[in-house]
Amino acid sequence: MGEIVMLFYNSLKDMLEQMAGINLELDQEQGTEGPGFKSLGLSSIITFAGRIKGRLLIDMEPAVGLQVAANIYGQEFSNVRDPLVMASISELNNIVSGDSTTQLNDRHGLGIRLAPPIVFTGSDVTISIPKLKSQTLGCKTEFGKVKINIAFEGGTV
Amino acid sequence: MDVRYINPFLEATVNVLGQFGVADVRRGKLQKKNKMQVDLDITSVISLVGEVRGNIALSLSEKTARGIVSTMMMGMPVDTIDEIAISAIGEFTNMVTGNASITLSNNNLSVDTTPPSVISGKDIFFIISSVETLAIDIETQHGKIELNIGLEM
Repeated sequence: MGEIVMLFYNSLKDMLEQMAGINLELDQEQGTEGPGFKSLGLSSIITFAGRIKGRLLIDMEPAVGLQVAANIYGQEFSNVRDPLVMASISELNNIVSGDSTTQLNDRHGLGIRLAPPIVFTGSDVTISIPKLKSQTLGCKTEFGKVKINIAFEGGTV
Repeated sequence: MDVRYINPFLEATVNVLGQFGVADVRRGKLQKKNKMQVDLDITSVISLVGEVRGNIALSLSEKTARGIVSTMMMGMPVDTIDEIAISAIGEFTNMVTGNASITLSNNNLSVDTTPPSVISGKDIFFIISSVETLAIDIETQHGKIELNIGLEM
């Protein structure tokens, strides 16, 4: 589990820097999650299947999503439901998940194939992945908090 | 989206509900959406990879979810959506997608399903497909289930 979390974190850190010029750091102050993952406001999920199955989730405060889109498109956004904001986060997850699972496939021959991303926002959102253990990594940017959550079954990476 | 890819999911949802013993299951209205705005409390999402690639989301209100989970558990009262109920909703989605995958593979389309994620909250705005989403209402004795299909075909 540790390897995949760090691969995903390093990839997200690189892509946020390259795509949007935003610095991502680990945030030791965020505690551990209970059985349901509480969203910070804007989330993207990519699930995968292969020799192992699972889910990669990027979650962030709406202000981070608005800034990512603003830096990519060079214009200000005020609503997180703007299709360009949603598309930016969805594409960010697509690139990060693609990059980290390619590395996993190369190292371990897992044959992982990614599903298309889902992106969503709402109030008091909880995300559960029944019967699977997941690990959350708390992170931060100068615009707000970000969380990474990884869950998978059928293997130990 | 080709009807050959839609019908297996629709039939699977109706069949699985029937197997649980949920009564008055019938197909309601169908609409095409670019985005998926859900005014229902709970959405369970499963993805497909392989020759058919995309996301399937089943949305339902908390009341409908409690009713269906109760029927799944032989009529045991379900007062809140707790971890067991979430697991049951995930399993319901698993069964629907698994059944539909069998029909697709009988039509020589190889697909694999991913684990379900159950998302609950208020006023949730989703994008499950960059192409288009087809939403089909399925009416039951416990209320409406919205079957959202976003396949990248």
